[in-house]
Amino acid sequence: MSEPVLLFNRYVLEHPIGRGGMGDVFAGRDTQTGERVAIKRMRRDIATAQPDTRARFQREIDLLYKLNHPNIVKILAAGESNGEQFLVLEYVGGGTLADLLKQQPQLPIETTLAIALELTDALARTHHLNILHRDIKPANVLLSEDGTPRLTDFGLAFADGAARLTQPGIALGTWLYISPEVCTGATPDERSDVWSFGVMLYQMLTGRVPFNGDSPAAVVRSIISDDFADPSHFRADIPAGLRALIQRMLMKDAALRPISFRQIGAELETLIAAKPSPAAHPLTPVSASMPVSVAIDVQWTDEHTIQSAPLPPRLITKITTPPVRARMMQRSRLLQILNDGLETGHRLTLISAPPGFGKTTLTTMWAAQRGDPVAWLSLDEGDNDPVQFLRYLVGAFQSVDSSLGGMTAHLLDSPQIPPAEALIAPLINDVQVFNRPIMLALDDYHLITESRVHEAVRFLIDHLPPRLHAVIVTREDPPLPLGRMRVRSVITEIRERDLRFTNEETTLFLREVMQLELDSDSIQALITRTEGWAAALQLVSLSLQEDPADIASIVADFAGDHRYIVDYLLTEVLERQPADVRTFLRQTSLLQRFNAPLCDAVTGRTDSRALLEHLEAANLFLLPLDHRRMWYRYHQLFADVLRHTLSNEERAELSQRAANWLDENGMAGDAIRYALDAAALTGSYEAVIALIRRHADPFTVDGRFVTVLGWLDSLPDSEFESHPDLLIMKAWVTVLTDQIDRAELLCSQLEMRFDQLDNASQGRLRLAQTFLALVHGDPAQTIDYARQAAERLEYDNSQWRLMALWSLAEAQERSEPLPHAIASLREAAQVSRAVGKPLFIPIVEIALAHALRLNGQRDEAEALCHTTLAYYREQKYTTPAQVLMLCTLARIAYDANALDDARAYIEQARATSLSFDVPSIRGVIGGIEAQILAAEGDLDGALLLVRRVLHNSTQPGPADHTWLSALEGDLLLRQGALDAAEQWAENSGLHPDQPLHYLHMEQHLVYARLLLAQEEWKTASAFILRIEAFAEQRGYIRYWMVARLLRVCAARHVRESGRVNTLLADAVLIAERERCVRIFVDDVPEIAPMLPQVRQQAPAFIDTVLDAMHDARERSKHNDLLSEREREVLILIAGGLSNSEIAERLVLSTGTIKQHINHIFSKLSVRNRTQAISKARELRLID
Amino acid sequence: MSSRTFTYRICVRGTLPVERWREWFDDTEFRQTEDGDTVLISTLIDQAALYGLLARLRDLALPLISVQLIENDETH
Repeated sequence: MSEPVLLFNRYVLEHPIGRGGMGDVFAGRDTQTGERVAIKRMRRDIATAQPDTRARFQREIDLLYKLNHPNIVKILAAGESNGEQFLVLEYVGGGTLADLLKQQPQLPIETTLAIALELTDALARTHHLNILHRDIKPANVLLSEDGTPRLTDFGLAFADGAARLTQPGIALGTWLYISPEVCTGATPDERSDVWSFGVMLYQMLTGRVPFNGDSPAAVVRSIISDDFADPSHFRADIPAGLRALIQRMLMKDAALRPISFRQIGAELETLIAAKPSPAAHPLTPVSASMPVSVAIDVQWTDEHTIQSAPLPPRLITKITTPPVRARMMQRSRLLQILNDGLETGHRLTLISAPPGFGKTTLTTMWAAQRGDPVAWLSLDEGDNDPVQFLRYLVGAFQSVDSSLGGMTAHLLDSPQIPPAEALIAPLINDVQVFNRPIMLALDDYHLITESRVHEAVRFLIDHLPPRLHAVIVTREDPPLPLGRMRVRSVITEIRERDLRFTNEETTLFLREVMQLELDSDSIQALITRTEGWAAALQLVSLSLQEDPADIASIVADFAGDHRYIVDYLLTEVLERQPADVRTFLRQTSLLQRFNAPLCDAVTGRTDSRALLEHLEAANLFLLPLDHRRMWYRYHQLFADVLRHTLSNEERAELSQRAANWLDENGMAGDAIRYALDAAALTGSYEAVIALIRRHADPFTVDGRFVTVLGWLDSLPDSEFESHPDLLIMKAWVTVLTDQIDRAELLCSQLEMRFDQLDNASQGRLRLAQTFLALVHGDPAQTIDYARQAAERLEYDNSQWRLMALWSLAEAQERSEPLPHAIASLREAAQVSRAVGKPLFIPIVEIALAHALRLNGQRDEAEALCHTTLAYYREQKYTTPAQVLMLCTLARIAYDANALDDARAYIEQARATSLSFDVPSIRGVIGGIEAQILAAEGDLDGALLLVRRVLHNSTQPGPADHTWLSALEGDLLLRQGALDAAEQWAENSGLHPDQPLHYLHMEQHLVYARLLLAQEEWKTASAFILRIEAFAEQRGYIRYWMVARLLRVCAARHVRESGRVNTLLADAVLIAERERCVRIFVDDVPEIAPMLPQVRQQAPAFIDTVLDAMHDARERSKHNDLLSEREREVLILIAGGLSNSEIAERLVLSTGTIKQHINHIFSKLSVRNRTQAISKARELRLID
Repeated sequence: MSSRTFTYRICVRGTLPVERWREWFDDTEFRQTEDGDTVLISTLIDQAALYGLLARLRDLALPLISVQLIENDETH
């Protein structure tokens, strides 16, 4: 350009920076503010060749004026100048998302979510104004310097109602991002933008687009007909919810995609909030906080190695699809509705009608017709316990395929059970990757009353993956937003009016299915009387079949009677049965599900099997529950009427017999339900209380708190007077179910009679109170109660004692010497094995290993880690706990300067952690890795890594955060960056008078080093003495050593010189025992000249330390070898970039790059790129 | 001790034979209407009892015509 062009008297056009579809883009400057701008100029050739381009350019201008949004590039000015069209835009300086993806093909999950969320906001605004973007792709997302995105290039956008500016059938934009409907020439709508956004999101996560090909035609073919690869094939850390969202955005059928960017935004927000992944139940004991500052998000994984224990046989009937009976009315009219719904993409089917309308039958028929695998769950009252409900839900899915729900099953076995959403998410995930469609049927859903179960189901329904369709069968509408679902047309409903037999169906049923010879008058009479109610029709047919000679009069009698149909008909049917059959029916009518042995036990007969076979053959409302005809239930209406003929005495007796049999046969939950029924009728609670006493503990260990609370709530208050242990149990489960006020009340009642309680009961009460004290944040009370609990539960090897020891360890760690906590943890580890809750063991043992290391017992810590890891290998679990064990081993190896071992452990930890996404663990791994990196000489890289971990990981545990921050200060000091270190101390609020805290020891020590570096000798010395005394008194030997060495360094400045050698020798002896080499190198390098004076104390060890110090100095020399710029160039060379690519990246000329490369070659004494890379790796100049 | 009770008038379609069903519904009086429907006058201790009763009627597939609170009593 010969002379600067001034636009609109304000903007200077500088140099071209790119070329868009309609024109060139220039860098420019605002002469009034001096700020940079971007200027778009419409190309003359295009303007001439395509007259509509001008109109399009104008449209973009109009749209941008309308679209005022922080994530949409701002328009500053527009108009004509010298006959050319110009558009002046805000300059966004961080390149495009496409550029970023070239450098870093897979973005971190957090970054992806953050960028996506801001863009959805911009797109929601765009769509709100009836504007489609139509060209969403990474190249059209600009990034500002701080990384926030700006949507740009609305050149293709058009507002609804405006004339279409492009010719139909010509899809503009980049092929890779266009939606199938646009490929086939349909008019795009909001959902087409959703698709493109989904493609972009997929690319940000995986580094590749989901549909690709060699030519535009191949791409289009792939978009229209191919399935895309599961993004998790390319990286393991994509949260299930995000995968599901992308999957929905990339539905070929636009109607199945998320409805709006608002909705997508809301889901992204949920995903962002959900990290760190499943938060543990806030009040479940062990989650309160872990001793020895190890925080674990319990999130188990590796579904392939996990198989849950098989369910007992009786329970299998709950998850078995009832067999389809031989003679049944074909209901093709309804099946048609169901299939149509499914084909329209309705993933939820609701079958809601009173009993006797054939809901279950219809569902089984449909399942049989479709042939898809069915996860069937027949619900009962017991499923109001969320844990039980989820167990069966998993069981139902595992009956389809054992690969489903393994992780959920294990989460259900973990000591702290996460909230239902976190349990269902992995299940959804499994179903998503399962390659076949599945039908999930929830039968008798009206029996669910517990809101937490409703919420779990709601979550499942809201996140149904594409190949899972759910059927809810119920007598009353479930608490789901049915109105909205109808409007959005995502639900198929079959209701009473649909289920009633039509006149034709009634005729068909009577003639064909029941094979009755009926004249049309009789049929008409039956139609009128039964109104198409299946149960009534079936009953009337039964009575007609019994007495075929007298059909006309029976029909007339029936039609003329106004009594409740079922009542009338059952009386008829029952009266025709022999007396012993009638008795059998009455006596077994109380049983919800039964098999022959249970019937024998309840009736006192021995021929129940034969009778059941007879009843089934006679079609007497007996429904088989499994294919082997072992378990049955009666039709509900039939059972209700039969049950009603029993007297209270009979019911109590029969219930008790059922309870006894169920208990003997290992079905305690059912047994207690029947026993409670019996007790309520007789007022005698002894038997049921004995049962509850026996089963409350195992049920609580199992996490079924709600069930136990349900039992206890069924007992009258008077029973608790004489059974204080039950009241304690109640207090405990109310604590566990988060009902703090209730728990307080119960505890205070118990406290009043504390002296009358036996030792164990007192201990249990104190334990409940420990948790209440924890909730109230009262440490003194917590410690007091925890200790009392542990003392009183001394001879009780149960979960109670385990919990007591655990909370005691935590309390002790806060205010007592470490060995006290270690003693409690040792006992806890023993008890945890005895209790047999295998997943609790590693959690106790991690805490123990960590405490042992800090207490100066590294050998035992190391041995413990190895034993526990071996235990995992045996159990085939992959858990975060395992990762933390590996981290502890890495730390121990690092201490001993065994850097290769440390790196091997940390790499193993990283590989193991890939299968779950726990930010706090990522923080720990990153921190240790930074330490190793620094030890290898790369202080800059280490600092970068620590800062990234500190800022990226959403929420490291508080202790980890302090440790990482200490590491940052440590690295700054080792770099000699005193100013930055001072800034760090100020930002962290450190000062020499601060109170010492056991979780902040590393930070205290680094701060002491800073004071020394500042030559604040007196202040430093006083602070160090405080740390030393604190560490000694609390048994933190690992920190004591460092404090002592710092004291030695400070000594000669504060006239402590006389004793220096003794002071140093003490520390050296312990460091030798603990093999702590690195503390000398990292924390007190200035101590080197003094070491030879104490060499005779530990000659071999001192030599090792001196070697390590020498080695460290050598490494740091190598690191200084190259200039910062040369190092940058070297890294890009190693990344395979050509000279010109490097020049472009670093905004330098190729000549300069060549110069840099020559310098690198000569400094490393190499001749070519390959040699340079391998030499640099050897010297650890690059990774 | 004072306890509150509520009396509801519940009307269902169809004729329930009084003698057979009375004990199924505590504190309930049955009446047949001229239209062949059944009216239950139930004295209930709380809302949970009411919903329990409604669920029982639901489980018998008896179409519900009306539910009306007719007395809201404080008894001693």
